[in-house]
Amino acid sequence: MPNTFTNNTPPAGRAGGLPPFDFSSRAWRDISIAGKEHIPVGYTYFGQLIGHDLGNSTPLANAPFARETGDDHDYGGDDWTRIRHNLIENPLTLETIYGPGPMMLPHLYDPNTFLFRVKPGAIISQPYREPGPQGRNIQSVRALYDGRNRDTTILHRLTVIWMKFHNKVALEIEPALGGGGTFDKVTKLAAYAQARSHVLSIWHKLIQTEFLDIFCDPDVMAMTPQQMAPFAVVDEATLLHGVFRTFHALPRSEYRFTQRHRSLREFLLGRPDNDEKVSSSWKLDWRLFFHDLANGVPADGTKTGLCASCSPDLMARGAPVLDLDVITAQTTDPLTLASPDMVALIAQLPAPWAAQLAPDTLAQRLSAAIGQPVATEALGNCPLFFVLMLEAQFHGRDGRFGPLGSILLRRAIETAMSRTVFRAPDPGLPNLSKPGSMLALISTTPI
Amino acid sequence: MVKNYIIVGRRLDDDDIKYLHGAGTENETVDMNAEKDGVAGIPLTVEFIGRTMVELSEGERLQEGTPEYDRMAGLLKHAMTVRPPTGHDPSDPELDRIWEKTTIVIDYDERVSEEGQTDTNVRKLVVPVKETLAFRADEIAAMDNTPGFEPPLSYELDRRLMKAHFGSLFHDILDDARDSNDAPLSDDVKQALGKLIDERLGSMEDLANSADPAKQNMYAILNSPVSAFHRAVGIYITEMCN
Repeated sequence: MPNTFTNNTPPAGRAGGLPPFDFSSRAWRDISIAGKEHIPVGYTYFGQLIGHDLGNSTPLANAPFARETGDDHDYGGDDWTRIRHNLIENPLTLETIYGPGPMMLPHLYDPNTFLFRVKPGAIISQPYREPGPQGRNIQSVRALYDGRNRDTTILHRLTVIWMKFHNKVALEIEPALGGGGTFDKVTKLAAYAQARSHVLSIWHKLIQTEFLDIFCDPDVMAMTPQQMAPFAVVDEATLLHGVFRTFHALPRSEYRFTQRHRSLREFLLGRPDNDEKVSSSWKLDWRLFFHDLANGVPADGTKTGLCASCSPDLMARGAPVLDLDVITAQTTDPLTLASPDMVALIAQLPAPWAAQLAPDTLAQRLSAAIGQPVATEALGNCPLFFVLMLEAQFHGRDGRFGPLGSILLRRAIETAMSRTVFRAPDPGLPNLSKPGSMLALISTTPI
Repeated sequence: MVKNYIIVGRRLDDDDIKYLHGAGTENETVDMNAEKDGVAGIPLTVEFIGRTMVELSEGERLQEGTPEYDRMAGLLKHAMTVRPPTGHDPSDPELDRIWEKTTIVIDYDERVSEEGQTDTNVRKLVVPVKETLAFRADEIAAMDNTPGFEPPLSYELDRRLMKAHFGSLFHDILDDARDSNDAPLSDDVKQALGKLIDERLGSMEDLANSADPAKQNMYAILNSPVSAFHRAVGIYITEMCN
């Protein structure tokens, strides 16, 4: 079947052999991802962890909160359920891993060591077993702060690797802090704080040097801070439900784990009480999932890329995940292409980039590609992630976002990182582990 | 560091399956390639163990110390794996070291039948290593004493075998089901429910179309009662410690 839908290829109509236009159909998926498979699949889950660290938005009506000084808004109005509260209070501080820390989470941290409760040799967090209805073991109560980090076995394993890395750094720091006795709370807490700051600095470094570089257009990454500064930082709802949903294009139906291939369906945890007995017993060679940047060795496994489709195997609650994304995009009210703020932002883009995002241009391009009419208004008002998927499809290089997606992502993430205040390393600390890539970090965490 | 491991027959969906090439010839080899010179190797799994047990039970007793015994014990060892508890890193190199230091012993039950006499039997029951059964018993004891728990020794392939076995039953249920207006379910709904069942229990198509040799072998077992029997023998004979 000729591929008429990828970057820089002249589009043809249905006469060119395209399947019916459906972002989640297998036939459409095969067409749209062809030529986009450049990004090692591990970065899918790196991105998911970043998404979880940026936010978990919930309607205000669902979360009691304290008014800030001067806030006299009438929260009893009709918009009560539309205004969102971010359950992640400190975006990009690894709150998704640490939560509020060892003083408040005895299930997550050993109260005697203030280290994460990760068993030696473990690759996933330990379940607290409790009989559930019909003999099902309740597996959801685990030594994890953010239950979303069990969405897939791969994400769960990555989460535990960050927890192990923290424990490793804390143990590197502890001797330098002195202290006495088998349990010195002050020392342990200081080691926790120092270690968390160090781990966070590594997290930011990897996001900046590895993640953004892989997903953002090289021309956008080459822009100076001064060139980036005029672009508005999108609000939380737009970032989570408009930009990050684009990453749902990334999961593949099948992954190479070692010499074996494993299907997405088999490691997707659809429910919080699903167990991972089978998928956590699989060997996983991380060199297939991430580039070995230190040694200049590219990842050799399954690849993926941003495009205008989603794996038909990426299901949530029995429906294609994009169906749910559309619903949340309606309830959370993120910006769309036609929103005045977005129109203003696009107007600041270099002219060729802005021109290709004009709704009528995009509609014509899509219409030609799918062989059926597309209303300009439909594109202007549809969820932003659809537009970013289309932009990635038509204008993204090597599986990356197109220019708009790249700018929105880079700007939001760099801004969130720049807002983070954390403790500088105390003088006198030993040389701490400083992995320069995700793969190096994985390699430094002990069995 | 790893504790509570068990040494059991490899399953088809395990990693690192080894394959036997040129069985019984001078060029017999075992490696991790599914094919050699274009010929598919024999996967050394519980099915191989079960088939071997069936064959051994039909032949003369292999005497310990003979080349035949050593060859067979060696092949059976390749079909065994060291399995850590759930959540332990399956790539832990200690598991390989434990496997290396494992010895497989083949023993035989005995039956003496003489004309006009009652048979004399020696039936050997092997008691697993201390704590291995207790570990699993603790896990299982955490489940409720009500129907619906996950049956012990039920694996991916068992679920698919049972699904195939109940295939016509599922079909009949969907055909007989009525909605709240007592109308039959529409074809669309039936199709959607069928798809959901496939998603939860695994579809035959996925196995048949997979490029993964292990999945093709699973598909072969789903089509062969004898292979399924060998697999069952292999599981029950090697997994008593589980």
